[in-house]
Amino acid sequence: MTQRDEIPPGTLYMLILRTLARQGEMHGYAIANSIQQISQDVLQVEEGSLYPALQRMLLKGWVTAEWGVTAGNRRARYYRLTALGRKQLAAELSQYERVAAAIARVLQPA
Amino acid sequence: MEWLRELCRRLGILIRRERFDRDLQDEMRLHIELRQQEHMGRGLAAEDAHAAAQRRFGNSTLLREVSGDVWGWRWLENLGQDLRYGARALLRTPGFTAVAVIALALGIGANTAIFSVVNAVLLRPLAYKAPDRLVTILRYGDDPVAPANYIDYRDQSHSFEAMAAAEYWSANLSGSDPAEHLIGLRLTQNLLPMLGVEPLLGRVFTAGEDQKGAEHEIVLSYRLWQRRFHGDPNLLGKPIILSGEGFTVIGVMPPEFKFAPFWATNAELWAPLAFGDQIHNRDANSLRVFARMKPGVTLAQARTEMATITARLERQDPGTNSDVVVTPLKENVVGKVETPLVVLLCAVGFVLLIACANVAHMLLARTSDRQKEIAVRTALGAGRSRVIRQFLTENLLLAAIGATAGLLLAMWGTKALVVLSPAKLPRVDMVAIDAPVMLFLLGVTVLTALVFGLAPAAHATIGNLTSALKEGGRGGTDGTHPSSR
Repeated sequence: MTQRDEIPPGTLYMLILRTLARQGEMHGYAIANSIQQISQDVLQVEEGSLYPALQRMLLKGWVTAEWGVTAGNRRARYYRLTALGRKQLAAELSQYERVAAAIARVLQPA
Repeated sequence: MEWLRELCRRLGILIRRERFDRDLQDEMRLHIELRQQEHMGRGLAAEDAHAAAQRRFGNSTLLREVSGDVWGWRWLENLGQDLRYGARALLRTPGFTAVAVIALALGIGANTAIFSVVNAVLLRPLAYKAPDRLVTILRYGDDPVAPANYIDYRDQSHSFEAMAAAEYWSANLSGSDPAEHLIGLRLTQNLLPMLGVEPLLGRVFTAGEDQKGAEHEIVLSYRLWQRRFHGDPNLLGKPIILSGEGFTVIGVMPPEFKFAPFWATNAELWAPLAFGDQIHNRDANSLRVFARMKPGVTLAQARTEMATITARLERQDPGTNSDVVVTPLKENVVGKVETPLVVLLCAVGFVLLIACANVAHMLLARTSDRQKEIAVRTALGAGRSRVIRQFLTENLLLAAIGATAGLLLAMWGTKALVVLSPAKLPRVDMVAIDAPVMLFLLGVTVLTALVFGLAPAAHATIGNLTSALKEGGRGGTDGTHPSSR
């Protein structure tokens, strides 16, 4: 079994935004699974914490939610990125890249 | 603008709180069930799969609460909870509640009633345009001056935008109704424009009407117009007979208009003032002089200038211009009653303080009876600040009930005060429970709750948890009195 790492604090929003940007409409369970799969099981979302985060994103207007029916005929709430959410994603990505590049430079062997 | 939309969304959640909570719950349940199915697909038994899914999901109750925190209405829920709890606690001890409410109602009611008088009499600005720049120019601050002096003040001074004079006058109104003796004032033409007041109907005097011979035009008070002429709009231009002379009604003033505010306060007629041959008279002191200072001119500057002018006139005609004083109009109106009213306000303030002390004492005794309840709450994880907040909310509730009763008392009390007040109290007819009074009431209520409630609340949360629990276990409400420890 691969070792699973917790997501660094503050990046959860970015990951959710990115996942939604890539796949369109998704419900919470699918978002959790998707993050895990694409990260090849390295990143494990503390599954429950997804929901408070989604609530905040709804409040901020980054995503909208709508109830729909899954393939298995279950009622599920589907989230979708808004224009504001796209803008937020772009901002967070560029900030993340800046920070990551800076850290990489610091860690580089001389 | 985004914060506004966010606020709207928050409010939307507040209104449909239960639905949002249910949605969240449904969503979380679905998540766990899907995870469980996945585990079962890998061959786990249903129960084990469910447990594994739960484990991986985390504490769903806690997560629901965290989501609730995101919505930002936790404080309101806490407040609602505290209020419900406080109401129950007050209902459990109806005797205490009744006594405390009566004490607070008397204290707050008396303060509100007196403040409403102070507000109307002292604080509210005079009902004229820019009343802060209006002054009176009178001998000894009170007494009238002679026409020639007024004309010299007017022509020689530069501190004032306008200067006008008024003379006491009374007349008998005869006509169809029984004759009535009325108080009136004769005014120089510029006085009403200087006050910045407009008539309700018709017009006020125009230039030239204060010349001798053109003085038979008259402006009526709203009350007189209603009382004697039944509000007849066709009265304008019609003649009325005053003390045997014919006058033409040219205007009616609005109901709230009063002039003068400190003397001849019940004047109901205003006619033009013509000096005629009195224009050179320096001895017949009959004019009250009013003036509007120019913007930017201070009272001290106006006083200095008037002192120079009157000193010069006094040298010319000794005995005619000594002790002429420039006083702000407002001070002339309320100056004499200011101190007594402030003293009265302080007195009722002390009454409230005594009421607070009594209620605090009763609360303290009651808190001792509630040691067990507090100990249980603390043992179950309530923080000290949370317990204090619960107590303060309870006290605020008590104060609010007292304030509501006090407001009713004040409404009745102000009416009684107006009836009982000496006729000399100026502007007392304007006493009303208005916005400033309500703000005062609110402030006093919160302050009262803090004063009588903080000590008991603080006291309640100090003390030995274990012993309180043990004592409570024996008898429930036989906790020791704090002063006996």
